[in-house]
Amino acid sequence: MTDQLLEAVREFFKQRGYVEAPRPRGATQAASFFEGGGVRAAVFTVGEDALRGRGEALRSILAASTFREGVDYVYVAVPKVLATVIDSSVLSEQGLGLLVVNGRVVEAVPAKKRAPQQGLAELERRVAELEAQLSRLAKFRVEGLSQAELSRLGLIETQLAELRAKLDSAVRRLEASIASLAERLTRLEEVRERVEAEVEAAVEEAGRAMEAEGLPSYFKDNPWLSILASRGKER
Amino acid sequence: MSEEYKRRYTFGEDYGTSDYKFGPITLGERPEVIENRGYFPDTSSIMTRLMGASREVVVGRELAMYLGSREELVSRLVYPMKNGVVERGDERAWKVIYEVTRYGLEMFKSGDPGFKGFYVCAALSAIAPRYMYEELFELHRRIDEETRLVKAVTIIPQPLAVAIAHKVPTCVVIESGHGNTQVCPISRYPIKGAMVVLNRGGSDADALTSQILYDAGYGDLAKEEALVRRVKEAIGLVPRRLQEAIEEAKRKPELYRARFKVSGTRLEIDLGSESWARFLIGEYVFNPKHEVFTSYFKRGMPKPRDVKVGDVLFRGMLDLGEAVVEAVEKCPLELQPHLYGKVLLSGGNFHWRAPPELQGVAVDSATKLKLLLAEHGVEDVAVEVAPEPKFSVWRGCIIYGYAVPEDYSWSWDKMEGWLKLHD
Repeated sequence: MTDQLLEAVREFFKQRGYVEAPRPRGATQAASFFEGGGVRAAVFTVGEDALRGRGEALRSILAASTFREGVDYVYVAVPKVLATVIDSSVLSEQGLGLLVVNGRVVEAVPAKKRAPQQGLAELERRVAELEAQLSRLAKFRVEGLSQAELSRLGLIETQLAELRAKLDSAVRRLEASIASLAERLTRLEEVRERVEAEVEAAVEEAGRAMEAEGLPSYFKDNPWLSILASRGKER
Repeated sequence: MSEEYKRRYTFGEDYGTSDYKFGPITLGERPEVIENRGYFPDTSSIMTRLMGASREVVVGRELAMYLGSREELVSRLVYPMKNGVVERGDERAWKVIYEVTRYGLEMFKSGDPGFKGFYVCAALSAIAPRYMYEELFELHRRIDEETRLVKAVTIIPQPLAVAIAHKVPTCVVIESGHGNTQVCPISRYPIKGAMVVLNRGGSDADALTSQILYDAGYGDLAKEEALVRRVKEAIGLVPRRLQEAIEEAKRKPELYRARFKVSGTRLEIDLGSESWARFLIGEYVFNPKHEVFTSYFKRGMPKPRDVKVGDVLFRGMLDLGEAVVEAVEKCPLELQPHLYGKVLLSGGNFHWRAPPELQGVAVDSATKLKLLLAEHGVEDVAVEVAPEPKFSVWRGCIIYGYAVPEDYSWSWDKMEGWLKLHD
């Protein structure tokens, strides 16, 4: 199922002049990458199979939400049956695009272009670097530093504080997003269970209708059909 | 065998007291109908030889061409299910049942190379004893050996078939045929221990009609069963309350005048000033205890009596309301409201007209039963006359034959399942 999904997505981007790009180092296996016209897009596919594991769909959507590395657009691609239970406004809030696959691909929610920003890993790397520099400079401080060195140190401290603030803010946003997504996922699971029950009932009903199709009128909606069909199996 | 096969080759057989309704699922809504009777012609007569008939018994539509004089009919015309029960040793009756069954199956013999025989579901009266099941199985086995027309056969009680045809798993079915009336509570299975059987049916209303014709000066016609039945169906009415209906009919004789023209003949029956008697016919089906019937019994009309056939007690004079209450009250208390929730009237004996111009005086069968039940303190009962009651049993047979899994073998304990005759 996921293979068919992916194949449809490839065709979608191909028709728009994109080619499949190699997966950046460290990027998740769940994503596919496409580039064209100086633009890069990442697509996270969530197949119907993901519904079998409670966390599977959430993991894919979270991964898409937090993914920043070197792409301009991030999409989530889902089959039509799943699209009916996804609140597209949540994806939109996160700047994620939604591709609905039903044989062909429809861009249900366009992705928002990601502002060039440093990823969390990059921020952490720079904070660590600046902390190392600060530590080195602190040694000189005790030995007496020149005015120029002190002002440079002040600048580094300011930069460091800004970066830490950015990092804290990013973490807070991320935590809020995770909490919101977790809540949405819980609702999604409830909706899924309800939809599954409805689908099951509809399939059963369709089965009965199909069964009665072409048969005389007294077969239609006759409860005895199921009662009698279980004769001999009731012990 | 696939479900697709059963969609084409499920076969229903309703052995009614008067008619035999039969045919495959592909007939759709209505079965073929022939009279459930056979004629044993006098094979020595010149006419029989001229017509080339060499058969011992004639059944089906051609039977009418063989009929002899009225006197002969009594001894040569056999209605095997007349009382719902056929005696084990009644060879002529079983011979007729064999011929009627074979006639029906052969009518629908398929030329399709994939045809391996029918899944036959037959319906017998709920009071049919075990030996009737054995005989009927044996008879189908014989037909299959000779024709390969029966792949498997099962037998169900008629009230169950009625409940199935009307899509009601919990109900009371009152199946009233020619010879008797079965009041059978059903809750997914027939509750046999609670069944009440009345020793009267359409034939008793025929007997009363015959007496009424006799009294009106049509004594010669009163002996012809088929004609009497047609007169009964044409002029018989069910009164809301008998005494009031009789008085009303006597007050307005023209409005209630009973006339019947026998089609294809010059004969017209006119009850004239005795037309009030048409209400007796319907009342008698529901309540033969009314004092007005005493004079008929005194003049020799047989009074329905309590008789025991095998283990079954046939009640004679119980009114239909009492019979329903008695049957329901034999069931668990918890089930009783559900049973009163739907009472189904089936069989030709409930097919009474209530002409709009006689509204308020003549009623339909459902209304009459509700009135009787109310007299016994049971209100708000949902009574329904099965639409096309003559075909309900056959339809139930078709659904049963179609739905019951083919690998469910016949069980004498449960009295259900398939008896496979060949692969």
